[in-house]
Amino acid sequence: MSATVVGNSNVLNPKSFVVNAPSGRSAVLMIAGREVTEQLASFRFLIITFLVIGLTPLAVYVGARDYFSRLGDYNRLETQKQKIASGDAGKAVTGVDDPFADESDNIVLRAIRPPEPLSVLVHGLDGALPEYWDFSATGIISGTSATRPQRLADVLGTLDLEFLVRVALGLLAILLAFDAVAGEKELGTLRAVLSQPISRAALLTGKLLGGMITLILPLAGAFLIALITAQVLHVGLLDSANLARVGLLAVTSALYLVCFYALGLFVSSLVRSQKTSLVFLLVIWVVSVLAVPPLATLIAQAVAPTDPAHVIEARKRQADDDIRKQSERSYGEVYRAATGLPVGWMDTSKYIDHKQEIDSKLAPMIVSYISKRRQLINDIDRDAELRLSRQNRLARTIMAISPAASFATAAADLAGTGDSHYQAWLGAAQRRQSDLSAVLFENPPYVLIRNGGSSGYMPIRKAPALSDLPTFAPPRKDAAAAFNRALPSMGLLALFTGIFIAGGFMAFARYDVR
Amino acid sequence: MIEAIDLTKRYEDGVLALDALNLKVDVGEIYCLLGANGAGKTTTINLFLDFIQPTSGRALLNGIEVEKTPLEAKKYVSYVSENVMLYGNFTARQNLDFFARLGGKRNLTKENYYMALREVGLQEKAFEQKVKTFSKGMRQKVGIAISIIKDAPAILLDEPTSGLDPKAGAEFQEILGELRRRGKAILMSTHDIFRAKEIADRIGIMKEGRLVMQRTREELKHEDLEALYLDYMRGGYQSDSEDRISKAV
Repeated sequence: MSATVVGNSNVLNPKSFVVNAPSGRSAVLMIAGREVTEQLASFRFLIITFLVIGLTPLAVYVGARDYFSRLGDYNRLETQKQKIASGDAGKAVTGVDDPFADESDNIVLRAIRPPEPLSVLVHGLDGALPEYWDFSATGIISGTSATRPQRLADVLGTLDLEFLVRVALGLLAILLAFDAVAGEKELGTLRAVLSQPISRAALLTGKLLGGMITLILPLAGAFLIALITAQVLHVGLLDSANLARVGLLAVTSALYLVCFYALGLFVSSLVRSQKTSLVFLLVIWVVSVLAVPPLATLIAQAVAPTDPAHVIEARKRQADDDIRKQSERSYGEVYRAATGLPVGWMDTSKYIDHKQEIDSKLAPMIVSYISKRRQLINDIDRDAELRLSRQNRLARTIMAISPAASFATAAADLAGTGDSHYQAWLGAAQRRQSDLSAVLFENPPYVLIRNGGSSGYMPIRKAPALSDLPTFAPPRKDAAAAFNRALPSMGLLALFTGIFIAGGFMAFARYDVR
Repeated sequence: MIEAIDLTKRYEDGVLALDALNLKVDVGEIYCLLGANGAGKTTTINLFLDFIQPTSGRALLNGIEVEKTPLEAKKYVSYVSENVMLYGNFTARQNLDFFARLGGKRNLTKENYYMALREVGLQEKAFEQKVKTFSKGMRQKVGIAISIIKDAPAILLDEPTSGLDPKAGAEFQEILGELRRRGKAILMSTHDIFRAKEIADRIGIMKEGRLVMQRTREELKHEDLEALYLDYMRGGYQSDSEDRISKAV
């Protein structure tokens, strides 16, 4: 055997032994480097990364086809609206036309929702929300939701980048972390590492950092491929506003993966065997990723049911119908008394002859009708809002136990395809309705007067041009607004991550390495 | 260099695993701890590595109390266990590099690692092979190479020869002799009475958490260690008097 001394100690004088133990930071980097090297070569990493990278272009392709189909719908609706607005209906908006008839003049007031380009990454509710909202004296009428002619989109509708991150990369995070502590304990390497002058905190931090780096690689690859595919398919994701939101989406995805990796470290630090760790984590993964989100909605719907929007709108119209008809008949009595015409006769010229007298008597009646109607519709709206918010609160509370549900919500909110986006559009539509009520519906240019079996619209004032009416302000969709909407879910995700990291450190500090 | 003073460990379930152990291993000395399973040998090593904390007493490495400043104390110790703990997907050299850097060695070259691996007698072709293909003896050699690279003055060996074939055992013994020559203080727990007798400067027998007998190499020239050990295990002998053990310490 060779007597070459590789070390530097002076034989029989150990005091001369010079030690340069690694600093906490360099120990962390060493551990992280080893973790990354080992994990990048692992079968589990390669197979799932291959799966995600392979499915990403397909997911974006399906999303893009769906998006372009909805974009076609949007363009068609816009063209139709512009065409009508450029005619008489745009020069004099009556606000009284029957909004349910085709080519209704009220289409000039229509708020049309453009499809969201980021829906190619996070499909969310974008295809299920109304494509437009109409406004009338009797309230808001939601348009139909987008059609999806592609069968591929029906089958693969849920396969989007968010799904791949939530399900496939979420699973990868768990598969990389489940044996991080318990596995090394079984292997014995945990004792070997901890026999060196490095702290447990440094070891766990290194593992966390290594896991983060490993997981961010396929995530970054998937996002890059998604952006390239979207660009090739001419979905404009690369403008600054969209890119900023894609960036936020990527950061949230990374946070989600860290959350699951930290959960894996936590569970791995609580149990003695890697098999137990894997079983625990898979159960948590299935419940969190696959069971809780649909169950939360189902339970909330069962416990706190609500009526669909169209039913509520129909109820409002029904409630309004009685008092409206009663008012119209009362207007008819005023008309009859002033003009002397018998029941069943309508003549606009007679109205114009007695306009001043009729209008002065109609004015307080219109105010009374509008106030009654407002009261009635407010009651229905308030009841519907209460029920809906109760249901949403319940669903959100149940979903709050699942980091995957929080991630799905945050991703959809950032992409502009989530429930918060729907609420924002609904809010914008309600503001639009209230603006139009003030200047048009509650101060109508025409009043329907009913005299027995005959009825007719009588011109009370000059109808305003479309350009005189307040314009529709769609909800903001910039990165800051998207971030604000996603903040509660992102906060919850960050909280989960924090709890799992803290739990992991506490468990590992007490972990029996023997 | 390696010193236990009244070192005691009682687990939460009440089991007294180590009862006031007093022991000291000097530089250039190999101390073998013999005893049945559960006698307290591994508990002793675990206490020196801060894997567990003592109920009372002190474990010192180079005069540094392990419980108080574990990271400082662990700078002075290398550890080789029964099942040498290496990363299977790393090569022998990569394992050496990783543990050397964790142990505070920087700027070592591939040649430095190869020298250490040669020194422990690992075949050249295995240097860049993944450790998961190694036999136990080969992994044992890499484990010792890690200790050589770290060059710490104290070495703790937990059942290092169990499961080794006779040739690997003999090679291991040779390496230990070299490490002693370099002034390392070596504390080794083992079941291997014959190996212990050949290599140890001192031997302690543990039973039920207590050090019940201690002999120097000189003393053992006149005694039959195997007979002594078996008698102690059967409970035929009383423990050496406190005086005798203290004197030996």
